Amino acid sequence: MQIHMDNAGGPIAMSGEFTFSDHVPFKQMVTEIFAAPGRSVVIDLSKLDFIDSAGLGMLLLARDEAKKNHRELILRRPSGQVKRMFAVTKFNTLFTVEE
Amino acid sequence: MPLSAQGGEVTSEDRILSDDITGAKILIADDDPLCRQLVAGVLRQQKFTRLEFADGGRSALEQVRSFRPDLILLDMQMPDLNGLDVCGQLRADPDFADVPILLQTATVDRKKMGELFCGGASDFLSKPVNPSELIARVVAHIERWNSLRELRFYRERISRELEAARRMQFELLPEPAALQEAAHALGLRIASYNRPSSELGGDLWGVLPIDDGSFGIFLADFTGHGVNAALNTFRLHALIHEYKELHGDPGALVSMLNERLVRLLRIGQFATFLYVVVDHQKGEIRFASAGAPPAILVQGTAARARLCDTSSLPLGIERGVQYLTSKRRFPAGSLLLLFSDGLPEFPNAKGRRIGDKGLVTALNACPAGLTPKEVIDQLCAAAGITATSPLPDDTTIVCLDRRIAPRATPCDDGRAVRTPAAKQVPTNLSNGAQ
Repeated sequence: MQIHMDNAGGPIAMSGEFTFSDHVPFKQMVTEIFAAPGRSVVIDLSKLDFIDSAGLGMLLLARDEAKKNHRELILRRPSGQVKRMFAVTKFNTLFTVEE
Repeated sequence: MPLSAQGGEVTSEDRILSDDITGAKILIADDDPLCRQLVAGVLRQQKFTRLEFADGGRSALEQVRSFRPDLILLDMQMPDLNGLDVCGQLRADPDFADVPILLQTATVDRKKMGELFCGGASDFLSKPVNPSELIARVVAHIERWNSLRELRFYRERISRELEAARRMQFELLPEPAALQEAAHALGLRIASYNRPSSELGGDLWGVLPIDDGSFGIFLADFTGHGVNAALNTFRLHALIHEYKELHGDPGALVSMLNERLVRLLRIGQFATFLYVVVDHQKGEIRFASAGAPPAILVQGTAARARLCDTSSLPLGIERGVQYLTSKRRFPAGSLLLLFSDGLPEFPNAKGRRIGDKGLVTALNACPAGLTPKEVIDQLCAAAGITATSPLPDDTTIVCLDRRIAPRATPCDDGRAVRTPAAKQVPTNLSNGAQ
């Protein structure tokens, strides 16, 4: 999995496959984005090809972090397998998902 | 201020060695008694106490086997058997394949030095003996040997414990012989496949007896794998058995398990769960899902396979979720397939995953009359899973059907029975690979 961040406060984009092996960079990213000021955090998932249950678990950690910091977490355009996973697990009811 | 300006020169003789080092057993092999005394004197001065001696190559080999030293100092030139030969013989014995062996030699010939290392020496010591060099090399090798041994002990202990835990987890799964018998008595056949991705897994499945007309079957998959996920399977197993009165009501059981797991699991951990009550008397199944991969259902021998909608929140995320029970017909000739996401998400040699729809296609392509075990084998093959493939995720598959040949008449849909009953009965209930 790759994480693309610009420093201008634009959306963060994830690409590739999001699985257990990505937990270190993902947690680091979560720490960084909530340390920076702002209201909502947008993660663009349109280029993410695959997510497993460990990946979904990490999204829940990010959601918890957002709640603690009174921030809004928005997941943008999940597609393909990621979209199907969101549907099967009803994750779209837990997050603000933008199509 | 330069550091060297403070205090005197520190030599190896000034260093206080720990008991772990000075307690090491050292064998000194030299045919010259004076040389043995000299080396022993240097070592004793550093508080090494467990010293033994050999006066030649052959006696060195005997001493090694009885004394089992932590380090061996071998003289290169001994009349009966030289140091290099002793070294070669010891290295050939698995017990002494990596014990530190220091060869003492007067040679400065670089080619000969190379031969010492090729012959299995850990290091060399120049002769005549230089006390600082002797101590420095002995200490370095004993330290290395001690840490190697500690690591080895640690690894052996952990792997013993993991093996014990693996056996305990395996015991949570239905016992194949009892399962076969119970299924057969109900006119059903059942087979399963369960393989963790490491010693311990986060998948669990089981069968719950309800009454004469029905029984329950569940499949759970915790996030992640390894020890953490495995411990959660034990928790879940205990919880499921705590709510026996809910075993006949899938929605109520799943809702209750969620309430309990929400309080137990850390944020980011959850379980997908599918619970199916197979009511063979009524010819129906009732199920409730918590984010599980869809079950695949074939309603009768002539029907096509299709996915059952299982979409819902996994267990352990949100409080107060009400899980609903769905109902489907399950007439004679039907087949039900449950699986954890390890199956549809297994990346084959080309990196492709079969997916839920691919499994349906593969199931529809199965020749008629297969036993549940054969169906599982076909689906694994279609997904690219072989007996030796390393699995990136824990994988469980349970296949159950009502296709046992009726005793006298052909199948109720008018087709002839395609598999000889005699072949089916003894083998078709066998539990799949574990």
